[in-house]
Amino acid sequence: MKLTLKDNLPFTTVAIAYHGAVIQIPNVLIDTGSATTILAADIVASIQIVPSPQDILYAIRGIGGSEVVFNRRVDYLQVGECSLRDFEVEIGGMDYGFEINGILGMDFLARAEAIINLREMKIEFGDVDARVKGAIR
Amino acid sequence: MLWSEIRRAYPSQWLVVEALEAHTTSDRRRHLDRLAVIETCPDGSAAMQSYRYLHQQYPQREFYFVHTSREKLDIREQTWLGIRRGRETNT
Repeated sequence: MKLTLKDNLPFTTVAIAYHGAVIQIPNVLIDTGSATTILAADIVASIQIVPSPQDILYAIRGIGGSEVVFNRRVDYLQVGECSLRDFEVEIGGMDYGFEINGILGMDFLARAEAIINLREMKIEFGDVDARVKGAIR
Repeated sequence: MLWSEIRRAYPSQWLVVEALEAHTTSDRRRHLDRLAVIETCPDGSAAMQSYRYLHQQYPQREFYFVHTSREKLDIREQTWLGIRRGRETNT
């Protein structure tokens, strides 16, 4: 999967599926400094990911500001050929004042065995999905 | 108000609340000890939109979007050091 540098930060496009509906989300930052993955509420509302009464809330606090987000298990999160099923993401306003639709964190990158190749400006993955499928069979 | 009092006063309702007193325990749970109800909202999306507006207007205050069907607020805390963005570039 191709990486694009914007303001010297690496961005890619992800696909997310929820209750059978799929959308592509561009402008997602690849961030090995983030433990978790977060997606913008305005984008995922189009596939009916909206706050529900029993959602667990996360209060994210620190130097970068603060934000309250909710948590949702999606059908899968996919980057390029690599798809992780039943993946938990955080959903937040992401009102940071610049164009960003999500942050792909270490929860995805580590499980997907990502190799961030900045020489060729692409991100590659281990064959995780095939192995998972193999384990189920 | 306490959360239990808010639940009685606003049954089955989406709200934006403000934490007036709160503390974090070592298991990284955020406990809201004293709360004020800021807004009642028709659904979860509206509550989140109101939260976002209020949070941008008053970034120093501690707002949450919550539904009163929840017996205990389960708020977990994460630290974030932010994104360090480079200069604007045209590529």
